Amino acid sequence: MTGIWHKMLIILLICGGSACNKSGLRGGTATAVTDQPETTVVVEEVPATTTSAANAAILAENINDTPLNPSFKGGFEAKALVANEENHIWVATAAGDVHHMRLEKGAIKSRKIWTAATPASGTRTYVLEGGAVMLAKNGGHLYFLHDGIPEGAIDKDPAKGYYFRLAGVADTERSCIVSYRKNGKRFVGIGYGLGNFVEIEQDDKLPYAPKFATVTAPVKVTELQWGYSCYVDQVRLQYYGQYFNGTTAGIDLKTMTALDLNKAPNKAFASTNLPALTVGPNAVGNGSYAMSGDRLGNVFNTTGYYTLAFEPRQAMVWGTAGTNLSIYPHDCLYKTPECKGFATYNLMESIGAQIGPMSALGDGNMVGMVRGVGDVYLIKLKVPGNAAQGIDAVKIAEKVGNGGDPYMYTDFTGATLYLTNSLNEFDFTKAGLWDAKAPIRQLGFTWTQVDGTAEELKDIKVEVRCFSDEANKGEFQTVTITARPKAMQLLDVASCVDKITSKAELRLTQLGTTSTSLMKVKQVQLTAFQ
Amino acid sequence: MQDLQRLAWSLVGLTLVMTLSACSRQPRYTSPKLGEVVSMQPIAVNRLLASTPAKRGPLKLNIMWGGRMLTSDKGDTTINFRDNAGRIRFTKTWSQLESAYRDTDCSNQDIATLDGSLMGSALICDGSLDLSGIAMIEGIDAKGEKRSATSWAVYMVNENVAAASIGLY
Repeated sequence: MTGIWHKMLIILLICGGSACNKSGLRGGTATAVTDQPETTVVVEEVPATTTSAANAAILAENINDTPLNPSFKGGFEAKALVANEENHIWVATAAGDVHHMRLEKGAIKSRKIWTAATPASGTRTYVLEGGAVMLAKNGGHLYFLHDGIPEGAIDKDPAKGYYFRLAGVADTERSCIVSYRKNGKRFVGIGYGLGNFVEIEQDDKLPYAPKFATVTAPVKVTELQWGYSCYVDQVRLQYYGQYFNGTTAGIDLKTMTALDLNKAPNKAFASTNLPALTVGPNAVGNGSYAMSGDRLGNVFNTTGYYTLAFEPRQAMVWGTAGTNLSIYPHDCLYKTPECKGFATYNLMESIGAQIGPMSALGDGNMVGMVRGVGDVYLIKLKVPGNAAQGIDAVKIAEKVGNGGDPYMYTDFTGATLYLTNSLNEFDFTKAGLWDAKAPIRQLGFTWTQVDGTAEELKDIKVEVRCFSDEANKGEFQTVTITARPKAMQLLDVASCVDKITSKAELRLTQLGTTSTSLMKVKQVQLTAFQ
Repeated sequence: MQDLQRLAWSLVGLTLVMTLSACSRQPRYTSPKLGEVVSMQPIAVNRLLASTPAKRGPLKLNIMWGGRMLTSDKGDTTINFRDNAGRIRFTKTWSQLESAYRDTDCSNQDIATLDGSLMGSALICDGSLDLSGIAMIEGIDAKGEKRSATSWAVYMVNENVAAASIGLY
């Protein structure tokens, strides 16, 4: 017993000594600061070493043409634009039912229902800018639906403009439909058969109805079968299509010629620890049920998944395969060969469901649809940006279309492909040398454009606000941007300048109906000088 | 002393029961109510890496498929399970699979809708089908129309049960 007491005493002594030692170190620092002149205190807080390698590395993230001075005081953050579109959830089922749901606070606030979108098979969908939807069904039966069209059985009188049959598509043949903007106009584009592609011009005002009579003669760019799955890179105007388990072929929509697949940024990317994430357009094995991509031009095409859905707000890619749901950091699919921080969830065990179609909303939530059943779930990460800390799922609709099998492709919310509104949050403590007690003296704005595009921010409303209270962020203030890419423009925003705050939001809104400039913005940066 | 021994044995017994209970825990296959929030934790991260499930003898696979294109209301549908060489390993009829389903304790009515029509999907959750070595599944309906499975994903239901998700589209 005595031995035990001795040991405990020794442990206590070590612990106590350790604690005293730490306390002594803190005290020593304080003493040193107190003993130094005030100017030296600043040096103590910002050691000379931080301006060398480590600081240079931090400042390197800054996108300004003129690097920030190494003695820069303040913080900055550069980000790609995050879409802030209105949430739409479209569900088209094999039975011919089509539902359009809108959300409010995580619950459905409105729902419109149409029926008789026949035939049953081969539904392919695309949500248009503005929230309408296009369906392409077997045999080239095209449907255009939005909330202004009477509910119930769809009137197939071509004169009404809701229905059109595309000639040249066989009764049992699929066609894969997308939409994009080109030369100041909006188009619906459809790939079918052996490499055929047609365009239909859309109206220039909401809801951007397709003008079916303008359908072009088919352009043929490949002998490969199209129509099962497709993806359009709206920024670069590149369409990728394939048949199930087939080889991918693409068309350059600018020139209407065959696309060099090597143009996809992740064409040569290979994952070293997750072979399933080697997902370039012609990934080994092919076979993604619904091809997809991101705003960087990467194409996600992989075997065994229904789809890989990009969620831009938290930079994650959500993949549905069988009854599993996997979530990967975005860079695992194009930049980082050894993927870390991913996780897989067994939905069958948790909610008795096999989710197939999946798409991001603008707020970090995902929408998932249960195959064969038609239930609709909202799913989110418990800890934003962390795939491995659990997910929460809530069923928001049951047996859509009386339990129809939902057929939705790529982005069925319209939140991640088109970009007419963006909302980015900036945390000035992330980079730079931030003093939590000092006010912001000046606020700088910098942007960069997608390579090869115009160097002006045209027809874009720019709004900024700084805030400290997440629950009460205050009003946005509109500013006018005249700066060219990479040049910094100082903004006189009342909620930021002379205020002690470390967070800001930037909201960009596309003005006009035909401009494409917001989609050409690559990165934005806010810099707070203290 | 005897009391202490009884207490110790009781504790051992309780531990064993708890352990066995945990080991034999089955997936719930339950669908939550509308609006109910369900929290989930990830399964082991390397699951997706496994191209084939752990070898524990023949794979006992559950099957879930969408029932489209295979209508049973106009006659039975034959399901052929073929190996890599294209040989038929075994054959089941749709009605046999329905029967197999009914003999299980699956309770989820959404999953249980096995009508073979456009809305159907099915889960055979007794793990009675051995799908090791099966490379292709085809369905032939009463009219002779043939459909092959076009999606096939193997996944783990839990530590001991592998499953295949098959889409006949």
